[in-house]
Order: sequence, then structure tokens, then C-alpha cells
Amino acid sequence: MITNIGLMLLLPLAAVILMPWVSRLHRRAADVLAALAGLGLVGLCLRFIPLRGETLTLRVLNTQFSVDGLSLLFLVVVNVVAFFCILYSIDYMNHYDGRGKFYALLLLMVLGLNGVLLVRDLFSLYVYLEIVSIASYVLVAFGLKWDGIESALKYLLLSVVATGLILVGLGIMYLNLGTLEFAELKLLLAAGSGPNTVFLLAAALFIAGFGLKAAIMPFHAWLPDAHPSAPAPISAMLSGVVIKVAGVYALTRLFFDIYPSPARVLNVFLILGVASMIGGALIAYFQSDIKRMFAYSSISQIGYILIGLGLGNPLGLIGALFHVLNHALFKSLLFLNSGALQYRTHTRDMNEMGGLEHRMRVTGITSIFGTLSIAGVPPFNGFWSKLFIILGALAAKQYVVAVLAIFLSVFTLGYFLLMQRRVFFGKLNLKWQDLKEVPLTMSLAMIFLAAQCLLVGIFFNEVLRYLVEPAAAILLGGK
Amino acid sequence: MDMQTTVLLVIGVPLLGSLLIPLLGWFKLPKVTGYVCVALIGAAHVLSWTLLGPALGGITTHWSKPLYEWASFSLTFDALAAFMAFTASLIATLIAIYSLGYIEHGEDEPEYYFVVTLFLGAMMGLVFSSNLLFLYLFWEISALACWRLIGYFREPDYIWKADKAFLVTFGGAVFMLLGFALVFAQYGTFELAELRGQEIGPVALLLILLGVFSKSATVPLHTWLPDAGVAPSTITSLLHAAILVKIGLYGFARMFANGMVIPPAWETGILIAALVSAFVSACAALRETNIKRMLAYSTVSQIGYTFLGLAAFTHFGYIGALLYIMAHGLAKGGLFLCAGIIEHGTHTKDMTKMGGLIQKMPITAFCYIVCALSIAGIPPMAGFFSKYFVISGLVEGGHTYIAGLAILTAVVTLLYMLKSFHVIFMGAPRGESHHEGSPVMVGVVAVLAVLTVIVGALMHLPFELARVADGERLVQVFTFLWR
Amino acid sequence: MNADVLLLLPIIVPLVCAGLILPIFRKRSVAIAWLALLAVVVSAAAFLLVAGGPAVQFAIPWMELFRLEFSLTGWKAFLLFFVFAFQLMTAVYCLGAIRRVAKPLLFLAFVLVAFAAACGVILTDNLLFLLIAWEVFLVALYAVIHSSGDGAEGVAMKALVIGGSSDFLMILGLMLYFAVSGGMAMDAHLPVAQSTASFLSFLLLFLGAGAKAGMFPFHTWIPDAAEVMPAAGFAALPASLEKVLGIYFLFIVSYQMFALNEAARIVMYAFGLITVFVSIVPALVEENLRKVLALTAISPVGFMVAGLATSEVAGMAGALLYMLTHATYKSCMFFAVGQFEEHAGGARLSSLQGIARLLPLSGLGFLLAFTAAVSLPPTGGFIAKDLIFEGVVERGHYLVFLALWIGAILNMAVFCKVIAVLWGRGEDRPVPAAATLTAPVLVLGIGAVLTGWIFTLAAPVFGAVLPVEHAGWIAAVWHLSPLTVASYSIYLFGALLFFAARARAAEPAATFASLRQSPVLGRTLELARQKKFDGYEIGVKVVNWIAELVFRRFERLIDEVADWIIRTGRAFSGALLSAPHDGTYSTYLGWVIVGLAIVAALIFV
Repeated sequence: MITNIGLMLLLPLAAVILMPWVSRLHRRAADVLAALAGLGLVGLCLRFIPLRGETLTLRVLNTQFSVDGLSLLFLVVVNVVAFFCILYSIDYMNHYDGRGKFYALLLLMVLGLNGVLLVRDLFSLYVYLEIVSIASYVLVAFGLKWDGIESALKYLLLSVVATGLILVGLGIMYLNLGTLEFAELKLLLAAGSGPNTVFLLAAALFIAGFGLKAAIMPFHAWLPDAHPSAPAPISAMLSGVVIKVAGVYALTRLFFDIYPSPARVLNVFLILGVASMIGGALIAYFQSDIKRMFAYSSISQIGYILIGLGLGNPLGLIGALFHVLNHALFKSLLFLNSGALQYRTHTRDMNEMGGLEHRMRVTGITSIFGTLSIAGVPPFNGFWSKLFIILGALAAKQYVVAVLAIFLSVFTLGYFLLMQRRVFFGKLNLKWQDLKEVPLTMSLAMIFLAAQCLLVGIFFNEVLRYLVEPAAAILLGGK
Repeated sequence: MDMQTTVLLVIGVPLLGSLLIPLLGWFKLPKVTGYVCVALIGAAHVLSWTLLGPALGGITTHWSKPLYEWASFSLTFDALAAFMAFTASLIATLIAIYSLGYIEHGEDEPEYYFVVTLFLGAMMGLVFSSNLLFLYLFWEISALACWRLIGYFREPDYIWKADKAFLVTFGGAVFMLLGFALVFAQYGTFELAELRGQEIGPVALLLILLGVFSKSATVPLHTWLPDAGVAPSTITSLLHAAILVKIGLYGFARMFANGMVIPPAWETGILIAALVSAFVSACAALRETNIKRMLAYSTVSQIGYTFLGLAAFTHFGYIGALLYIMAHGLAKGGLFLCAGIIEHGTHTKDMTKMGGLIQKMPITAFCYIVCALSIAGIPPMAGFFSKYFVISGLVEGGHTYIAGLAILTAVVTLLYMLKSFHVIFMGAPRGESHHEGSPVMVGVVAVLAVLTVIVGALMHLPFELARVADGERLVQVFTFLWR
Repeated sequence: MNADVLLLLPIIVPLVCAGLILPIFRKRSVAIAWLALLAVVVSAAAFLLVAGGPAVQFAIPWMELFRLEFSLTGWKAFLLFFVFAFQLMTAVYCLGAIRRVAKPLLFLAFVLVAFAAACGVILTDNLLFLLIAWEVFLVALYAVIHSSGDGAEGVAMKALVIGGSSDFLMILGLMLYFAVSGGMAMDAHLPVAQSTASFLSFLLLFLGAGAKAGMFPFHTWIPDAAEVMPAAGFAALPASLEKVLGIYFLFIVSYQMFALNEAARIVMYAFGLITVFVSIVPALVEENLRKVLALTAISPVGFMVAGLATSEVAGMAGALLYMLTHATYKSCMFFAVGQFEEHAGGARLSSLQGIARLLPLSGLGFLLAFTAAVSLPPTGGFIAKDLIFEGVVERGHYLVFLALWIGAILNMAVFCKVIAVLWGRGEDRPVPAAATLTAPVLVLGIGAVLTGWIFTLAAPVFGAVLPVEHAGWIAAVWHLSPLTVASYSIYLFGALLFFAARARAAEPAATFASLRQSPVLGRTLELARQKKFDGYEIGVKVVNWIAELVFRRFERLIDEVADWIIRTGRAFSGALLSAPHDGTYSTYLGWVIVGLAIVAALIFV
């Protein structure tokens, strides 16, 4: 079992290394390798589930890798979404050259993400984060279109700022506390009673830095450019997974596991969360580019997660973590939908579409699943996580936040219905008379993700029991 | 078959069975889907017959399957649930049969039947749910079903109206969910059985009412309902008669009639809101010339009446409200289906462009007037009894002046119902050649009209069921107190 | 068969026949007219079988508190006797007249339904069922008016709206009554003075019942209906059955359900007297015989209401007698008019000049009915009017008496004019008339004369429902007293009035026409003719106005406001949000710095 931890990193690494050779063997060989790697990773992380929150540790060269409830939840999210993105890419990448390089970068990104989740010290975390970032920059620009390159550049430049902020934070921590190991930090911080000023100083930098990675308002500016320009599976990975692992996971690990945050830090989460939730939704409403709209809605949903964290009570935390899982599922689904549209219509402008469900049944129906999930319509998964967050808000007596969260979910439904109306629901735009549904693997990926949205909603109790609660237990510590 | 199985089947057959329909569509059998839909809904209805006996016997049972700490899937069987399941599935079955003649074969056909079946399944689930969360869950499934159905014709404007309906009902419902959450924060449970007799706070009440009123189209949250008239007539019929707007009423009855307690000071407030709703929409119906919008406003008005009965919190008011659900369902279902036949025949919804239709469609005209008189509260049609008992309930509760104003509304109702009949069917024929609907359509409408009269004549049967549904209230409030 | 079943036959048989008529028979109007006659005969036979025996009472279990209670007492049997008489005459008349009805199937089916409902109203002891039977009657009336074809729809709707609205009033009144009296009994003698609620209840029930009988302000549909309905239909329903039922219930309300006080009496008098004058004055100048008869069918209601208001045995007995006499003579007159107008080609008085000479038998029947209409002794009309006067005077309401007296004089004048026209100079060559048409006219005409005698015999029947305080009360009106003198003076003054007016007019039909030119009255009558005072027309206008106001200024406003909020909110937030997203790196970097500062501030401050 412990070796599996190592495999989580080695398997993608091996695939990345093999990819250049394999991709020369046959046009499809790269697809097979990537899919196998993705499937293997899913299998590996699913095998951790029966642990139910127990911590497993692997030490390699003085670096500690371990799986606990929190990591496991994110691991499952990362690898499941990655697998479906790979599956989707098999046909999607027909539009692009260099499919081997694409898979290599994608798997590198997965490697980095897994690394972030497995390591036990802040510096390694930072290193793996950079691996993710580098892979992302290149992938955003993968289409070699001008907008992609420009937004990749913007992404890079702003990420540098984030990295800088994080590094300074790390520096402050290391100078004052002498270690960056989670376990030691935990002990040290717990020993100093009251708010630890050193940590608080670093906290501001961490929140800004990781917040930038997570695209929390007002640190979100790169995201609406970067996510839409990337190839669809990459958008799905970025919006569905990367912002959460790079941002939310790091923040949770820091502010809940390592250092049980005081109320004022939680308040920062709440305020930023509310700002993101409202701001993201409002801007999303005005977009006519379907992927930009999804990108802004990601900001809004990150806001929900942050609110859940900021509430700090069990209901809120469970809600936030559950929403991480759910958002990963439905947002990657939606981005894959948008990819399917772009694949056939070669446009992202919703005003040019219309009535496409008559020609693209699978895309149309799965997009409805995504829409309903993100708006929190039961029995889809988004409902349960939002319910937890709202219950948490009431338990914390944050009534305004609860009302806003409720109102914004109506608003979210509103702009997603707007999307449905422009794109799918309605009379067929005659321009698309001869449109066909996307190829098989793309459809399959969307169908599976859509099914998961529904199944997680229906079997929410099992998901909570095996994935979310063990993770929440870590955040709650002794509480 | 024991009760639990029956109840689960009543819910499961349409809810899960609906998944069969898209499969049939997938396998290129769209023409079968209509019959499958009728079979599934019909099966649910037939099963609901077996529930009537135990319901009349006053049997109440409760099952619960814990899912999460505070979320358990609980079902309650009692007379109220049996009454509602029976009524809704009866009307839905008839409407499904009518659809066979109404819905044209096309690529959207499987979707139509799928969503209709799902819609009824959600209704059945809602009817038997006694956990607030699952009540909400089924509530929203019905909202999303109605979203797809209202936009069935896919005109750009229609889609916007479908979205509006979805947004308003969803919006109201999530605020209701917030109300539930407040109740949960106070009492730590979502189980209605455990909340019985607990007084909820005014804020929670207002939030819950927001959901109830938006779903049941009460002024000022009602405008989506007339707009939803762009849907196929079968769907408007389903929305108005069998399922959607009844959900709010049923929810209110389920939650408050013999459950949570409303702060006493608020009871009159609800009555006034219901009265305003009834009157305003009756006025709107009088001035409206689009037949479906007119009928929709009439629904809003009748819903207001039903709320008056429920919120009077008296024995007869409650019975009247339940009978109202049934009587209005039958009559309004019939009226919308008549409107469907008229629309098919004349290709217009503007009543001022009709006239003299009685010559070409006598059976439709006859059914229309029977149903219209039932809505207006003229015996021997069923609608009279419900209106009578609602007013009786109001007076019983000491709300004499509200009863008086309700009477005024009833007069306006009579006026617009008769006016519509005269404008549509009487006078000189206008426009090109009209024709009577297909036999299956006219047949269903006739069945509804006949049922309206029969239910009126055999009023003691539903009355008995409603009386049993009143349950404990009967013991508590059953006196003619003059307060 | 036992009495219970027999008693239900008058309700069931016509309903079943009506049910058969609609689907089975098509365009065989004479055959269905025979079927209708059969139904009435069977019902009447069943009734006679029961009526001969002892009083019957039984109940069928129904909804919880409401049991379907039926009974037949001597008094009810007496009422039903009249009802069946009208039904039989109508059914016979229909045999000949049905061909002239535009939609015979609809007509006969719903006339039968109306019969069944009328029997139901009288037989039941349960208020809810009474109300239901009554509204069924209304619906039947609606359909019967429709059966006269084009042009009748408006009137049908008017009749149903007025009837339905008054029923709603009655429902509310009943609820209040139950609530105040604490039971479902129809004979609680609840004091009106007890509380506001009891007064309100009385008022609502009074208005509701009065509306059925055709009391002001609910009377306006009757002249309209008279103009369009088949003569048989009008004779059978609004002119006879509905009046009987309305006054019957008014009697129950004002005597059995409530104990009146002075305020209640004043209300009743007010409505009664207004009813008398708003109908009898227009009748003077009306040119259409059907409308004249309809208007003179309204003014007696005023008399009856006034009689009931007295709470005196004499007054109430007078009202009840008047109700039956009136129904008899008025249906006779309408049957006759149905024949007259067929030969004259219309019901305008000017075209009916001398028509009675062409149809002498019907003319004779009309003449007999006339004697009852103007209350000549020994008709029931005479006894009834005198009893009402006696009641009013006994109570000491002399002003009311005076008003009624004037009303009776005008009534006399109107009928004098009608007779003068019908029997006036004209062609003197009788035409053959169908026996089925003439017989009912004659029978009812003779009946109208004999009513006085029948009522004298029926004194014990009235004794069963009224607390007869002194024996021989019917004979009492024959005593020579100032009242009797006043009563006789009516004929004199009425006739004088007519002859005075007649002398100034060229044609008999134009008598009183000069009133049209009189300054105030003429203008008022003209406005009334234009339906400016019609409560229904005004009510519909007001309701439409309110509805328009509510619809445009409130209901539509909701959507408009919502749209406005969405539009402006969208424009505003769009501008607000797009401005900072200018796509430049420096701006975004600025945000990050500001954000960092905010976060730091939040943590440390």
C-alpha cells in the first residue's frame, strides 16, 4: 500500500518519459499510454479509499510523502478528472499537432498535482506547484494561437507574482521557525499560545499567493484569459482541478491542518469568498464567450468553497470539501462540453450557436447535467455541497452570507440558463444544419462525468462517508 | 403486497420507469414512447387505487432510511398523501392519453414523454416524502421538468418564459430551503414527524412561504405562470391541474396543516396574501384575451382560494382546500385541454378572434362550460363544494370579512368564466373553417367534464377522504366557535 | 314502492329523462316533448300517491354534518301541487309550441332539469342541498335561455351571473347563520337584533333569496329574458317556478330562520317598495307586451316582500297566497302571449291590437287571469292583497300601506291598458288554434280565478306553518272596514287613471305614452330604457373598471418593475465590472497589491 504512494508519482513520470518514444510508434500509441497511465492512477488512488482517513507515510531521501484524508479527497478528484480529460483528448486532439507532447505535459501536470498533495513540507509543495505551473503555461499556449500565447504569458507573469509572495512567506516561516515540515510546524505553532504573529505575517502573503493560484477575487485576473485559451481538456483540468489543488488545498492544509486559524483569518476567507462568489457570477453573466463564462463561474464557485472554509464549523468545512469534489466534476464536464462545441462549430461565441441540442444530443444533455449541478438543483451533486455550506452559515450565524449564497445560486442558474438558451435549447440555427455529434471518446468522457454528477448527488451519503468526512476530520483536528 | 412496496412502486414506477423512454428514443422507437408514458403513469394511478382503502381506514405509516446524520429518506403514508397521489395521477393519466393525439411525432417526442413521466414521478415522490430535504429535492425535480416542458416548442421567446418559470420557482424554493435550514438550526432535524407541533420563527416562515408561493404562483410571484402558457396545452394542463402549482399547496398542507406551527400572528397575514392573490388574478383574468393566459390567471385565483382554505386552519377550510385541489384539477385540466382542441382547430389563442365555435365543436363547448361552471363554483359541479367548504372554513375561523371579499372574487370568477365561454363559443363564427379535435382528445376532455359532474354528485367520497386526512385537527378544532 | 322512493321520483325521473334527451334524441322535437310530458306525469303521479298519505320524512346519509333530508308535509304538498300544475301545463303547451323553439333538445332537457331542481328545493330540509338544487335550477335556466338561439346569450349570462352572485351572498349568509345560531336547523328564529353578525347574515340571506324572486336590484334580467325566451320557457321558469321558490325561501328566511326587528323590517320594506315602483312605472309606458308582463311580474315581488316584512300572520299568508296566485296568472298570460304573437308577428302592443278577438279562447283565458292580476274578488289576488294590507296596517306602517296602495292602482292601470289593447277594435275573424296551446291558457285562467276559493279551503295548510292566532283569518278580510274600502278604491282609481290617460291617446297602445315627454319622469324612464340604472350593467362596468385598474396598474406592473430592475442592474453592473477588466498587466498587478494590502489589513487590524 505504501508503495502505491510512490507509484502515484512514478507512474506519470514513467509515462512522461516514455511518451516521446511511444508516440512515434503509432498514431494511437500515445493515446493508449496516456489512457493507461490515467486509468492506473485512478485505480491507485481508489485503493486508498478503504483506509478511511488513516495516514500512510513514505519517506524517500528525507522527503516525506503521505496520504491522509485530505490528500486522498484531492487525489481522487485530480486523477479521476485527469483520466476523463485524457479520454476526451483522444479524439479532441485530432485538431492539434503533437499529441505526444500534449500527453506528456498533461501527465506532468498530474504528476505535479499528485506531488503537491502527497508531500509533507512546504518547500516540496512549492516545488511541485511550480511543476504544475510550468506544465500549465505551456498547455495554455498549446494551440499556438495568438490569444493562447498572450494569455499564457499573462498567466506566467501573474503566477510569478504568486510564487514570489509564497516564497517570501516561506522565507519568513523558515527564518522564524526553522522548519517547513508540516508535522514540526504544527507542533511549534501549537506551542506558542495565542495568535502567532510570525505565522500571521506569512499568512497574508500565503493567502495572496495561493489565492492568486486559486483565482480568488481580486487575484483572479489571469484566469478568464488562461482557461478559455487552452485546449478544452486543459481548461477542464485548470478550472476543475488545478486552481483547487494549487490554491484551495494549500490554503486548507496551511490554515486548518497546520495552524488552526483564528477568527480573523477565517473572516478573510469569508470576505474574499463572498467577493469572489458575487463578482465571478456577475461578470460571468455578461460573457458571450462560452469558455470565459465558465471561467468566471469557476471564480464564483471557488468563492463558495472559500465561504465554506471561512465558516470554520464542521458543516461549512464538509460543504467546502464536498464542493471541491463536485465543482471538479461539473466544471470539467462543462469545459468538455464547450470543447465539444468548439470542436464542431469552431467558435466560442454563444450568439452564433443556437438549438444545438438537436444536432449534438450528448453534449446538450450532459451540459444540462452540468448546468443543474452547478446551480445546486437536486438531485445533482452541487445541491448537497451548497446545502452544507448554507447550513454551516446558519450554524455560524452568518445570515447575510447564507442569503447571499442562496441568491447567488439562483443567479448562477440564471446565467447558465442563458447559456442553455443561446447554445442548446431553442430552434436550430440553420447555419449548423449539418452538424454531427462529437466522436466517441469525447462523448464517453462527457457521459461519464455527467453520470458522476448525478450519482454523487444520489449517493451523497457514501461519498461523504468515504471521501469527504475523513478529509474534514483532518481539518477539524481535535475539534 | 405490503404498503411500503406499494408506495415505493407508486413513486418508483414513473420516476425510474421514465428512464426507459429516452432509451426507446435511442433505439429509434419514438412512436412507442407515448404508450409507455401512458402505461407508466397509468400504472402509478392504478397502484394508487389500492392505497385508498387503507387511507379511508385512517391508517398512517412511516418508514425512514437514514442516509446521513440528519438526512434520511422518509416516507409517510396517510390519507392526505393518498388523496393527493390519487388525484394527481388520475389527472396526469388522462392528460398523458390526450397527449397521444396532441403531440406531433418528431424528434423531441421521446424527451416530451420522458419529462412528463419524470414530472409525475417527482410529484409522487413529493407526496409521500416527509423529510423536508427530500420534499425539496422532488420539488426541484418538478421545476426542472417544467423548464423543459414549457420550452417544448423551442421558440426563442418561449425558452425565455421557460427559463423565467424555472428561475422563479427555483429561486423561491432555494429560499424555502434556507427556511428549512433555519428550522434545522432551531430544532436540529428535517423530519416532519419530529417537527410536529413545533412553532417556527417568522423568518423561517416567510422564507418557506416564498417557496410555496412561487411554486403555487401566488401574487406577486405568479407572473411566470401566465407566461408558461406558451407550453403545449397538455403541459399547461399538467402544470395547472395535476402537478406543479399543486405542489406548493400540498407542501403547505404537509408542512403546516398538521405539522409545524405558524406563529399565530401570521395566520391572518397569509389569509390576506391569499385573498389579494385571488382577487388580483381574477381581475387580470377578466381583462385577458389570450385564452391560455386567461385560464392561467384563473388558476392563480383559485390557488389563492385554496390557500384561504388551508390557512384558515379550520376543519372545513382544510377539507375545502383538499377538495379544491381535486375539483380545480379536474376542471382546469379539462379547460386547458379544451383550449388545446380550440388552438388546434383555430390556430390562434386570441379569444377575440374566435366566436361561434359551438357549431363546429359542440362537445368541446359543452365540456368547456361544465368545467368553467365548476371553477366558478356552481353546483352540481365539484367546484361548488370546494368553494363552499373553503368559505365555511373561513367563517368557522372567524374571518368573516375575508370570506366576504372571497365571495366578491367568486363573483368576478363567474363573470370571466362565462364571458370566456360566450366569446369563444357563442355569437357569429369568425375566421376560417374549424374542426372538432381528434376522438382521443375530445374523449379525454369529455371524461374530465363528466368526472367534474360525477365528483360533484358523489362529493361524499372525496369528502370522506379529505375528512380522514384532516386527522388530528378534527379532534382539536371541530367546533363551531364564534370568535 | 315505499314513500321514500316515491318522493324522490319527482327529482329523479325528470333528470333521467333529461339525460336521455341529450344523447339519444336528435331533431325529433315532438317525440321528446311527449317524453317530457310523460316524465312530468310520472312525477306528478308519484307525488299524488305520497301526498295522499301521512307526512313523510327521511334522510340519506351524506357528508358528515350534511344529511340529505327530505320531507313532505301538508304545506309542502300544497306548494308542490301548484308546482306540478305549472309543470303539467307547460309540458302540454310544449307539445304544440316546441317547434318554434330554436334548440328544442336543449330547451326540453333543461326545462326538465329545472323541474327536478324545483321539486328538490321544496322537498329538502337541508339548507346545503336546497342551495345546490337552487343553483341547478339556475344552470337549467341559463341553458333554457340559450335554447332560444342567437341574441339570447347575453341575457343567459346576465341571468346566471346575477343568480350565481346572489347565491354566493346566500352561501356566506348561511355560514354566518350556522355560526351564530350554532346549528344547521332552518327554524332557529334567530333574533336579527342579537349581533352585527346576525344582522349581516339576515341581510345576505334576504338579498340572496330576494334575488331569486326577482327583487330590486336583482330584477333587471327578467324583462330582458322575457323578450328573448320562448314563451313556454318564460312562463315555466322565471314567471312561475322561480318566483315560487324565491318567495318560499324568503318566507323561510324572514319567518323561520330569523326573528325580525324593526331595522330588518325597514330594510325589507325599502327593497320591497323600490321593487314595486321601479317595475310598475316603466310598465305603464312599455310598448312590448312581453316586457309589460315581465315588469308586472316584478312589482308583485315588492308586495310579497312587504307582506313578509310585517311578521304578521295576515301579511305572511298574503305574501304566500300572492306568490301562488301570481305564478298561476302570469304563466297563463305568457302562454297566451306566445299564441298572440305568433299570429301578430311580434309582441309589440301596437301590433297586438284586437288580437284576442282572433283567438277568443286564449283571449278569454287572459281575461280571467286579468281578474286575478288586478285582485278582483273573489280571486286569490284579492285575498292576498288584502291580507298584505291588513298585515301592514296591523303593524301600524301606514306609509308603507299608502305606497303599496298607489302601486296597486298603477298596476290596475297597466292591466287595463293591456286588456284594452288585446280586446280593442280589430279584425273579428277567429282563427283555428291548437288545443295543446289553448288548453293550458284556459286551465290556468280558470285556476287563477279559483285560487281564492282554493286558498280558503287550504287555510289549515297555512295554519301548519303560520301561528294562526285567530280563527277565520281568511274570512276576516271580507269584513267591511276602512281597509276594504281602500282595497276597493284601487279598482276605481286605477280605472279612472287609465281612462283619463286613454282619452288623450289616439291608440289604446299609446296610452300613458305621454309620460315619456314629462320633464323628470320621462328623462328617467328614457335612461332606464337605456339600462343606465341596470344594476347588472353598472356592476359589470364597475368590475371591469376595477379589473382593468388592478390588471394594468398592479399585475402588469410587477413584471415591468422586475424587468426594469434587471435591465438597469445589468447595465449598471456591466459598466461597473467591465471598466477594471482592461486586460493590461499593470492593472491586474495593481489588484494583487491592493488585494494583499486588504488581506493584511484584515488580518492585523
